[in-house]
Amino acid sequence: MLAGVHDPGTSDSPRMPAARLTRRSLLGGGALVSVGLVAAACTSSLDPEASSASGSGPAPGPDADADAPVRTSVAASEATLIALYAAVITAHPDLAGDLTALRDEHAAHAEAMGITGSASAPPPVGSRAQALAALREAEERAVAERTASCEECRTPDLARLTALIAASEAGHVEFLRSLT
Amino acid sequence: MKPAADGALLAAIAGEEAAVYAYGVAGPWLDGADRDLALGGLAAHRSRVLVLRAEAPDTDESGAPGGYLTGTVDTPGSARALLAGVEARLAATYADLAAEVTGGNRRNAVLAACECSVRSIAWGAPTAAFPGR
Repeated sequence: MLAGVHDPGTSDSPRMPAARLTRRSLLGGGALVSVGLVAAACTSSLDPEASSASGSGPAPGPDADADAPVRTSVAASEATLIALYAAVITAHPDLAGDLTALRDEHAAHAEAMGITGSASAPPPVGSRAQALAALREAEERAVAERTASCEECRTPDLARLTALIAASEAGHVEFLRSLT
Repeated sequence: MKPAADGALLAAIAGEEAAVYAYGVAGPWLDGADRDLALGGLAAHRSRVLVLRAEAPDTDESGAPGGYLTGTVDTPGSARALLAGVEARLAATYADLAAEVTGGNRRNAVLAACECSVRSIAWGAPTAAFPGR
């Protein structure tokens, strides 16, 4: 079904680049500074609903520990994605306007895991088209990994979070497609 | 389906019904590639709502717009904006469902959340770290 909405004509509409450029340029200036704030805001906005929704779930203590492998895995994957975006933005500064927000969203994902992941070194960055293809493939892998991680979660809160992160990264795939 | 999932399941059914309704409202304002995209989205939501209803056969959630419809649709731009918003919110609703079910049902909920997010971006929504939140 993902393929079903990737109509090749859709991303050619003139409105979308304009809307995105506006947003990217707005975000561009303060993006680095605001990563922590955004992540904190997202986390706290998730928490109240999460705790009420999990009222009938199992006790949080032992299960939270049981979810440590998922948090570790997601944090490492997000750190690697952030490093890949940083490498692409350095090699192709003209893409910074479009890619900075996506990188920051991965930073919010990592922050939400509550632990610091260690990044794998990104591969060499090729041409603009190669770089965008590499990002798209990395995001597609991330969606598959997040979907698998979500199934492993013991706590409902982390399952909700990994599902939202999977959805975010699926959106990244679609956005990157519109750039090529 | 265990009782704990009922609230999230009913919310997902209501969200899917609202999405079908929204595509009906927006559809007449769209043409060309947008119309094809809308027909694909409508078909996906109609299919999803039938699957969810099979999980909760006794429910009778209507297709009322509820909190999903915002603003007036009277231009192609406002039609696209409506669908972008409905899809993003439904992605979050499916994440709530994923939290309350397990196994294959959870996997389906995550896949549905991803599909909604993709359509949301295709309709022009900005990317988000936590779609619909």
